[in-house]
Formats: sequence, C-alpha cells, structure tokens
Amino acid sequence: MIRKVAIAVISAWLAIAVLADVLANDRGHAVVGWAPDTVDKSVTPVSPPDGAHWLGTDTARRDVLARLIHGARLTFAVGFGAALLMVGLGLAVGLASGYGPRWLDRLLTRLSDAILAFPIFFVALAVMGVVPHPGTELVVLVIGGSAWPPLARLVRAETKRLKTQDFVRAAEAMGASPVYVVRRHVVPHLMPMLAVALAFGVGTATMVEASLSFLGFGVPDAVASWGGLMRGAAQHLGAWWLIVAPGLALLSLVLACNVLGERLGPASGRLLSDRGAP
Amino acid sequence: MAFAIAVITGCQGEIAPEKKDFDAAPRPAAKLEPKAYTGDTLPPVSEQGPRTEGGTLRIGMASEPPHLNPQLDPVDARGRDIAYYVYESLAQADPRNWRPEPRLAESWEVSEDHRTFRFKLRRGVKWHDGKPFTADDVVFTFEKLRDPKVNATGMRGYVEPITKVIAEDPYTVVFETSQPYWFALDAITDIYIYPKHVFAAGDFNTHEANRAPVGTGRYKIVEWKSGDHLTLTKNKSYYGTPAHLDTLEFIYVPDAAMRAQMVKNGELDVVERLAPEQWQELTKDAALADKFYRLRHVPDGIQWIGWNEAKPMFADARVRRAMTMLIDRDDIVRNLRLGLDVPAASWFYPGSPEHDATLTPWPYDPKGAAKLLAEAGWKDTNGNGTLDKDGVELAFTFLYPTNNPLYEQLAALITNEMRAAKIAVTSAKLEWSVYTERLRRHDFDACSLVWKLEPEGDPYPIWHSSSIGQGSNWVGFKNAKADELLEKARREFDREKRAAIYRRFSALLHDEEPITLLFNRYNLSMVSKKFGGVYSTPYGLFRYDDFYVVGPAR
Amino acid sequence: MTAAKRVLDVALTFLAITALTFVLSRFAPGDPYVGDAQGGVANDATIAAWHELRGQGESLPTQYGRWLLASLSLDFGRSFIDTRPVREHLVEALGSTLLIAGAAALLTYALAIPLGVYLALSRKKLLAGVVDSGLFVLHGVPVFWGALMLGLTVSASGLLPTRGSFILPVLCLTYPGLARIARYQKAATREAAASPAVLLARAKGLPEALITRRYILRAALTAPLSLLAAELPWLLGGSVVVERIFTVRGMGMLTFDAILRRDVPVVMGATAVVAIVALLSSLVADLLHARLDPRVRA
Repeated sequence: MIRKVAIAVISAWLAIAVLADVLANDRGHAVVGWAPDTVDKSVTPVSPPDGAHWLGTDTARRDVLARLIHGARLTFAVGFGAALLMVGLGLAVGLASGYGPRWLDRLLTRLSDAILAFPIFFVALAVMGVVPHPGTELVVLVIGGSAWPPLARLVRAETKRLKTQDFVRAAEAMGASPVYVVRRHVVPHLMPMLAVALAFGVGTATMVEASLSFLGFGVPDAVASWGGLMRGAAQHLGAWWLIVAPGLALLSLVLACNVLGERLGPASGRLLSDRGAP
Repeated sequence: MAFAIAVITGCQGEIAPEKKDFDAAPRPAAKLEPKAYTGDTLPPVSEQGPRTEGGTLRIGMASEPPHLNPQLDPVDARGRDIAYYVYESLAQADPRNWRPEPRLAESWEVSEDHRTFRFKLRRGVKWHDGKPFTADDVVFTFEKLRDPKVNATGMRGYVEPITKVIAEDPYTVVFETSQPYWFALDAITDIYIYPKHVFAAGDFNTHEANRAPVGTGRYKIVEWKSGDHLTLTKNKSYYGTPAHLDTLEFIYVPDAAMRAQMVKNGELDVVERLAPEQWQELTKDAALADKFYRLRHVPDGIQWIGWNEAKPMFADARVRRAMTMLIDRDDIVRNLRLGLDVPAASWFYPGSPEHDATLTPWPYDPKGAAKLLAEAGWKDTNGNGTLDKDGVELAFTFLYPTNNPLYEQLAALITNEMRAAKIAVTSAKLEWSVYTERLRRHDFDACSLVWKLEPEGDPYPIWHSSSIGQGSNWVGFKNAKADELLEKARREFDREKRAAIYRRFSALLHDEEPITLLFNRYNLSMVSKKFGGVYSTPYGLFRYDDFYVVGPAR
Repeated sequence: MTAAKRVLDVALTFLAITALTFVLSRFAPGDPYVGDAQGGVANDATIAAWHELRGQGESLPTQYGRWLLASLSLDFGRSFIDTRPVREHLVEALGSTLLIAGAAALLTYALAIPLGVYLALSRKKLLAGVVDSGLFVLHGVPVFWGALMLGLTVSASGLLPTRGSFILPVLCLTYPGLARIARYQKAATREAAASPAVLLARAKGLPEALITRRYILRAALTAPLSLLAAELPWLLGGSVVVERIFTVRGMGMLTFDAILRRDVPVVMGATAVVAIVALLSSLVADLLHARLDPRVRA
C-alpha cells in the first residue's frame, strides 16, 4: 500500500517533469500561463500568491508555480544522474576493493576515508570555484562523485563474504576469470542492495542539490530549481510561499524515494545511516 | 573624509576605484563645499530636544572589521568608520559643512607651486595612554606607510607621491610632493596618525595595537569580542569638546533579516544600509514609527552595467546605447528598488557642481534600439531569431557577483528584454574573488557593479585610457577628448573651473555610453528617536560622537 | 592489517588530503588579494607585492613543506584577511561548533537510544508504528528547510532572543540524526533479541526483565558507539546551512568564508583539523570494532 503511494508520487513528479513545457509556458494553452524564466514587470519581487501568480513570484519576479513545475526536471536529472553515478562508483570501487589485490583494497579504503573527511559542501564549493562555467552536469558530478564511499564499503564487505562462498570457490577452481566470477556470481547477489542504494541515493541527491542551490552554489540561477526558489526565502523571512510549496514538493519526493528504498530490501537499515544534506 | 569610504564591500558588489600613485591614476577624492543636504529626511532630526550627557548607543554592523588599523590591508569601510572615533588625522572635514577643520594640526600653509605643505601641530594633545603627541608620531606614521614591508598595499598609493616628510621641530611637519595635483592636501590630511611609542616595539603588521588601538580621538576601545561586539568608551581627557555618549557598542549581526528583527525587538538603536524591501517593511511597522527615525540619506552609490569595448559588438557606441534603451530602468527603480532610488544620467554626485542636471537618461525604447542596431549592421539575416552581422550572432554573457539578490533580478530581466530584441544573453554568477579577477583581466562581455559616489571625485582612474591597463577602466573606454579633459582637470585648482571641465566630460560620457547607468542608490537607515545630534555626512555616514540622549537626565 | 600499518595509512591520507587542498586552493581561479578590501581591484604590481608579503612568491612544494612543518607545532600561519593567527580563528570557531554540535549529539543520543530500544521491544504496535513513521518523515526533511521553517515561526514570534540563542541550531542539528540513530538502535536491539544467548536464557526460564537488561541491552548498546565515531568529523566540520541561517560563527562558516575569500591559511587550517579528526575517529572506530567483534578483521 505505502509502496504504491510512493511509486505514485514518484510517477506523478516524473510526469510533471516530462510534461513541464506543456504544463507551464507563455505560448498559450497551458495550465500555467507563465514560462519559468519570464519576468513579470508588473509586480515587485517576492509578491504573494494572487490570481495572476497562484503561488506568488520569486526574487526575480518569475512565477513560482512555473518554476516549481520546471524545477521537477532538474530535480530528476540531478537526482537520478547523481544516484546512478554514486551507485556505479560505489559498485566499481567496492568490487575492486573486495575482490582485487590487498594493496588496491588498502588504497581504495583510504581514498574513501579521505572523501568522507570532507563535507560534500566543501567539495562542491571547491569544484564550482575551479570550473569557469559551472552547470548542471557539474552538480551531478560533485554529488555523485562524493557520495559513493558508504556504498563502496557495503559492496566491499558483501564481496568479501561472497568470495568465501562455495559457489564462488567452485567457479574459481574451474578456472573462471575474475571478471567472469564477478559478473556472474558476485554482481547478481548485490542487485537488491544496489536497488536500495539507488532509491535512497535519489532522495539524498535531490536533497543535496536543493541545499547547494539554496546556498547559491548549485545550478545556475537561470535554471529553475526547488532549492533556488527557497534561497529567496532566506532573505524575505515572511515569504512563506517561497518555502512551503517547494519544500513540500521536495519532501514528498525524498520520502517517496526513502519508502521505496526501505521496502526494497533488508540492507536499508544501514543505508539510511548515510548523511543527507550538507 | 576623502577616503573614509573608498572601499569595496565584497558581499554587496560595491567597488571603489583603484588608487595608485598620483602620476598614473589617483583615486577619486572628495571635498564638498557647504551645501544643503539633498536627502529626503536628513538632517531635520538633528539637534532636537534637551541634551543629556552619558548613555549607550547600540549599532548593528553587517560585517566585522578585520582589524582597527585602517592603514593595513584590507581597507575596510567599517574598520575605517570605527577607527574614526579612536584615531585622528591632521585635519578632518566638518561633517556639517564639509570644510577642513583642524584636528591634530592647528594650521597649515601650501606653497605657490602646490608641492610643499607645512603643518603646525596642536600642542598639549595626549594619546589615550597619557603620552604626549608630537611631530615624531606624524613622521613615524608616514614612514610606516611607505615601508614596503608594511602590509599596506591598499593605502600606499596615497602617499607614494610624497617625496619627503620632515619634522622641523616637535610641532612642525613639512611634506613635499612630486607634482601639483588638487587632491594632494586631502591625501595628507586624511591619514590617521599613529602613536610611535606604541608601535615602536613589535611587528607593525601583526601588532596587538591593530586590534586594541591607542589613539587621540574622542573614544577609546575597551573591548572587542570577535564575532560578537566591539565597545568604545568616551575619552574623558579629550583636548576638544568631549563626546556626549559614554559608550558606543558595535554589535555584529551579519544576517539582514536578523538585524531587522532586532530593531523590532528594541535590541538595536541604529541600523544602516538596509535593503529597500527591509526598509519598507520596517517603516510600515506602526509600532516602530514612534520609536525610530526612518532615514533616506544621500545618494552614495551608482549601480551600472558595463559593456566591454574590447568585444567587437560593444566597440560601437550605437550598440551600447541600444543596450541602454533595451533596459527598462524605470521598472528597475520602481519595482526592484521600490521607488526608493532614482534613475541616473550622470556619473557624478547628484547635487555637486560636477553633476550636470541637464542630462537626461536615454529612454527605454526597444523600437529605437532596434533601429540603432540595424544602423550598426545587426540584422537577423539567417532567420534563426538572433541578430547577426558578418556571420557573428549578437550574443553575450552577463557576469555578476554572488550574494546580492539584485544581480539575479537584473540578470533575469535583461535576459527577457534582450530576448525580445533578438539578442541572446546567458548569465553567469561568480564568486567575488573570481569576479573581480575577471574584470581586472577585461575577460567579460557585460558586467555589473556599484561605484561608491563621493561628493567630489576624480574620474581619471576609471575613465582615462591609461587606466585600462593600470586602473579601474575595465570596460576599456578610450577617447582622446575624454583623456584631454581628465588630464586638464587634475591640474585645475579652482573648484568651479574644474567642475565645468567635469560637466563637459560627463556629457561626452553620456554620448558614448560605455556603461548603462541604472540608478543612484540611497543609504537607507533607522535611528532610535531616543537620540539627538543625528545627521549624515555626504558619504551617508553617521557621526556617532555627536549623538546624544534626548531628555532630562535619568 | 596491523595497527602500525593502519596508523601509517592515516598519516599518508592526511598528507594527501592537505596537499590536495593546498594545490586546489592555489590553482582555483580568483585572487585572494584583499589590499583594498575583499577581493580587491588593483594593478599587477600592487598584487605582486601583496603576495610577496605573504610568502606566496616561493615554489609550491617549499610553501607546502613550510606549512606542514609549522602545522606539526599547531602553527597554521596567519589569515590573509586580518593577519590574526589561524589558530585563534580555529579555537573561536571550534568553540561555537563544539557547543552546538556537542549539545546536539548529547540530545540525539539521549533521545534516540531509548526510542530505538522502545521501538524494538514495544508490543504496542500502533504507537510504535506512529513514532517510527514520524522518525521516517523527519529524516526526509532537508535541514535547510527545517531550519527555515523553524526560523520563520519561532523568530517572528519573539519567543527567543534574536541573537545568541543556541536552541534552534541545536534542534536543527538534532532531528536528522534522531531518526538515523533510533532506527539503527532498533535494528541492533532486534538483532540482539534474536541472538542464541537470549533464546537460551528464555529457554532456561529467566525473567523477561532480566533477559532484557542483561542480554539484550548490553549487546545492543555497543552498536551506536561506532556510529558516534563516524559522526564526529561531521559534527566538528560544522553545518554551513544551519550556521548560516542562524548566524553562528562555527567551523562551517569559517571554512565557507575562507574558501570564498581564498584565505588559504584558514582553509588549510580548517581542513587539517577536520581531516585529522575524521581519520582518527575512523581509526578508533575500526580498532574498537575489531576489539568488540573479533570476526571483523578488515
């Protein structure tokens, strides 16, 4: 039941993201008659909801609802992009660590330690500062590229456990190559764990992206994002319309992902202990 | 005075022109002849009610000064403001009429050739620790500033043209400069004088007196709790009229919303430089109206968008003017600034003799702009929705610094307006340290900043062609006529004649439109009605040492 | 792996982290020059002189070597901005951070451990379910959103002094960990409750209360300890979001500002402190874990 609700929520947001351009544009025949980057020169910044702007306007006098709808795109792009990257890196490093030679294990474990020593925000800040035109891909890279160590640890432990199992030993005894063993006997066993990690990863990445945008170091200002909308609220403390709707949107998506993650497998208890936002 | 506020406030995106040696490009200086205040609400609140001695003033400060040695890097607005109460210079402009008033110097003479300055020092002045002030302190101060090992790269430019500083006797100091320039006297009299006996031992750069200064001023520092507050107490043995308030407490509250909240709760007596929406929110509060003056001071800054002339598309003055005509400055003033700032047409301080009131801003006129662009050869020949010329699309990137929401508002607006005119704009937000580096390297298409406006400024470091490589002429404005006017003005010692030259210069600037002037920015503040003696200097600064508690002694 | 090897690894990782930070902060675009205030606008000669005064004229390895040697005696140099010793900045920032993070950690564990045990052993299914769901939702609330909402409602109501109150930041640092640790504790308690020792005790007919006290809790309470070790660097690193919203001058804001202004000595000092704490706590957690659970010999 709860799982169905979660899937429904995620599907609904996905549909909104896909149909964003149809739902909100200034070419007519749209549910919301504003494009996400159209400035309404007839109002002052952060104007409250009214007939023209159902959810009010943001600091740059753009329609909040239109930006909320288009922001779903970015949320999914970054959420899934970063989560996939995280799972890919976590799997690769975990396998290499667990199945590879000892020196490699030692090196990779220390690398994980080093990455864990930095709060993600500082990695983001440093990288955003180095690149001349930071864009959405970079946000994906930063979030995905720094979130993999906890998963790598789990994969490594699981791989080590599997390595001592009879069916793996048997395959090795029959002369199977390491790549074959990993692909045929190790990875399939890791699948449930990876699915859980992916679900939680989407939720976490979404949250981190919003936090970065909130601090002004996420995607460029012109790109509609939920965290970016909420940034305006820090300067206008009375502007509840900048916090409530994007915040609830974010919360619904993160919760749905977490529910899905938890229902997918038993490993969740451990994965939930990842840290979220910076 | 002259450079009391010549600073950059990183987070606000304000900038002061570069200052260097006099020969190359001295920074704009200031000296305002006596004149009425032009702000809407100042100074009527000054001098009212019976005066009570004693009391405490609590001032909210948005940024904490790095130190209280205003000679050292970085030159910080708040640090200089606080140091004003502790240290003194040879002369100080009277904030009410802006005439130089003797302070540590009693009188001075300037030679015929404007190159030698002889100061007679005041006798009987004591440092806060009781030691006497003499000419040795003055010579020491200038020696330190000129010492390359001293961490004063930001201020050294002011004193570089001084070739000699000699103490003729304990109460006479003589300065010589390399060449005549109207700003020289201001440069000398503006430097805060330091106690030699305090700084003699230890490293000047890291001396403990940089955080606990010993001065001659009307206030002494008693406590500085980093990240929290800084307390000054009245110097009872001041040689002149002592201050009225016993204590000035500068309270560090970096968050603007929190400062506003503290005003509402009665936890602060003064807040300055409020954003228009905050000022409006606070002034709407009926409970506050009885307790606070709502002040809109002098126009102390000018916000602009610059077009890099090194880029072929902006090398043509018609294109630059078209850009201005595509930006709805009335909308910016009315809606983004809530009508509290005013549209600008001249680069100079409004109300000053240099300001040409006959200039009017270019109108907001997209059709006229399209015509100008067509004249300049920009047409959509390939039908892709963007103007082009010789196979190059009319597309540019608007660079702006982080942390001031105004820039995001401008970026969104400009992108919209330009798109309607078939011009493709992308925008990029950069951290302050990266942003300024890009400007210095002329590595941008369009950018935006605030210039601090000074009652009388020298535009040379911003607009002379030699300032493209060596000063603050980042947009690369190069005009022979402008160069000639700017050079001539520097050697003109008569204010009226100089102002006439500058007015001609600003008309030329208006025609060439190297930057689009958006608005003149006003300083908006709130001051508790418990206090009298409230007024603003032409820089928009309060002088807290003249504040007093209104009413009979409690 | 032997303990000696492990310690050697910690030292090498520390070197790698600080060297990387050093190189990054030097090659990042933007100039730390602050001659005429934050970020500055000056000519090349002025800027060169400024860098010279800060020892930035030397080669990178020399500079890094010098930094490393000095940092061994806890001398992290002086800030580029205000020329105060970096150590002073670190001590001040660590003070606020320790106060807030310490209070938050205490509160988190004081609430989460009983909650977790309760959730694992409770027979009141409905109530436990509600609490469990509540924790689950809390875990999904982004910290900056929670902080904003709290700020919006509490600050405006005037219930707390505007400035200097640590209540809100502590709350914001507490609630995300609450769910995490309570659920971890729940899992650990359940695991302990299903252990052969407990089954045996129950078969022997020992009273339930005694079983809970002696077998379940004793085994289950060691679990969150290792979690604390993992949390430590995060707590010390400070939360930029919370510190920013509630204007706390802790490690988060110190590092944030230093990165923005390219104040290399402060960035290096803060990185070194956080890195060393992170590495040591991970080392301690591993050693502790190995001691408690002989099966784990990584």
